[in-house]
Amino acid sequence: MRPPLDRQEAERLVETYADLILRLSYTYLNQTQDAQDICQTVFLKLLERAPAFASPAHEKAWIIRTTVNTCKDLLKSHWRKTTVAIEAAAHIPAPIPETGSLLAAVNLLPPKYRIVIYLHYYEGYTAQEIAHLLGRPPATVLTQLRRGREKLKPLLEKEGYP
Amino acid sequence: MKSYHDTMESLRFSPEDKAAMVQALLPPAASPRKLSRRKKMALLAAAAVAAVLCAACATGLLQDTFAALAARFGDSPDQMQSIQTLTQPVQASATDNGVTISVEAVIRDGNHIYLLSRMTREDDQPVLPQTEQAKNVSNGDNTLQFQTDTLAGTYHEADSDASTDLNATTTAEFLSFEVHDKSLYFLHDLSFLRDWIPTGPITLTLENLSSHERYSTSTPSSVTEAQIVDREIPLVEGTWTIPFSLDSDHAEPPLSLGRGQTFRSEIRRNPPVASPLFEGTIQTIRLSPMAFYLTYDYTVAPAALEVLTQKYSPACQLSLDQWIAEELSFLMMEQNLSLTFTDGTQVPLSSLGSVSGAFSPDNRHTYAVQFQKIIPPDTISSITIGDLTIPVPHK
Repeated sequence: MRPPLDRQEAERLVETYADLILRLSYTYLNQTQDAQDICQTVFLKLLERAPAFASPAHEKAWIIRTTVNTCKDLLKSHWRKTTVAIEAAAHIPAPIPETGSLLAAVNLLPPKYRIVIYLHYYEGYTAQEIAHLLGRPPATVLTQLRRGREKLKPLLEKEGYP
Repeated sequence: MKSYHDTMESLRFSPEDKAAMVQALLPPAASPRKLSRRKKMALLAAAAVAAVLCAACATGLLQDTFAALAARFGDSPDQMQSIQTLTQPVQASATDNGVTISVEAVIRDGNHIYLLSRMTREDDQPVLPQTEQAKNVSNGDNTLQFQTDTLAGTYHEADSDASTDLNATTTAEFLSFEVHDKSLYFLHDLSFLRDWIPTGPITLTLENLSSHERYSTSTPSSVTEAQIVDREIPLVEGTWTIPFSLDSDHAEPPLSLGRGQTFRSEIRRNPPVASPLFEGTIQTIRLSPMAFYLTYDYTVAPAALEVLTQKYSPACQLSLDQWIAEELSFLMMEQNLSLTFTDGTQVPLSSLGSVSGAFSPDNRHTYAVQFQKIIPPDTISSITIGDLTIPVPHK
């Protein structure tokens, strides 16, 4: 187990990865309620497992892969989340992407496609890098990117993506 | 419209949120807060996302609604896109005894209408009582039911100006649930009267949710003296009267195909009945993402009538005409009806959902399929009815 964090290290982790985990969680799960738990879980796993990282890129890759795996575990455990009481919904409103937006179209794709689209178009990873990050064959990632592009082509072009 | 990049870019915690997260990660001695890490981070993430992404959203309920609908109707990209197109928020509700039932959405196409409703408790506790008696309530046999379950409104006949006021008894179909769930979702199928569609003001009245159990108290040594326990389990008491309105302009008309075309039916049965069984002339085919309706006039083939007559026995306690009509009704539900999809697969219509049929005077038959999953018509290349194949036009 990792030695207790000092404040500087805790600040570094949060500043570097909290937003990334939040965006990945929202991309994979398509809702906000579980994203909160995922963030908590990933940081706790990091503290508990204390992996040795060869580089900052290695550390980021670990965070991404752990976040995606945690999202998958959550989806496997139960599909439908029905625990938002009416009074709580006002504090945790789920994002509703604007009709016709690229985000709306991305959100309609299966989770494995959404993650690939996010990592490529927002985080800027290549297909090879994404394959390494997610532990998938490069050919699989290339196919998923191509299919995602086909479905999203007009919207991607509208937002200036090649 | 906000771009994908900008939306994702703005999805972040505030500096204050991050400071609180840091505190939550530090060892207990360094962190004076007693609130659990889980709750704190959950609240922080919720606030951050709400601040960034809720600008365009009226309420968080719609995302949960789509999740429930996707679980019921299909979660492929095409199906989820269809769900969004077919769904219109309603959000009318009533509360009684601390329990709220809200009509969340209408899901409709030109052929079919569903209402999706949700049941929750104001104190955020599980809807069902967490008692020994209720713990085995499950959705396996759709055992949840309301003692009163009615829809009152004005129903208009399809393709006609006729209308009538109805107070119809309906049955809520509960979606998959766990006994400890804090929200229960259920559907009402408003197309039970096939050609009558409710529009305008509607009132849903529900009363007293209960379950039902039936079991035998017999043991292997006393089968003949078995006692059957058959009782209702009261679960949630209350009366909910929910008025709302259905917008008649929302639904896209179904595809109308095949009118006037003729076909000969083939029945696959062992031993085979005379083939063809009958000839049909199509009056209407209505195809939409949620349902398929075929209405046709038929003439039974003389050879088939002769075979059926030979099979008749007065011991069935029906007249010959009655017996033939019953046999035909079974056989005609087995006729060769299938959809061929654009990927080349051909699937019997009977395997795509629940099938019903209705016979009218003058030898008219309607064969209806309520699809289990949403099937976008542009994924279908043709419909096969007996020896007739009808292409499905795409936009």
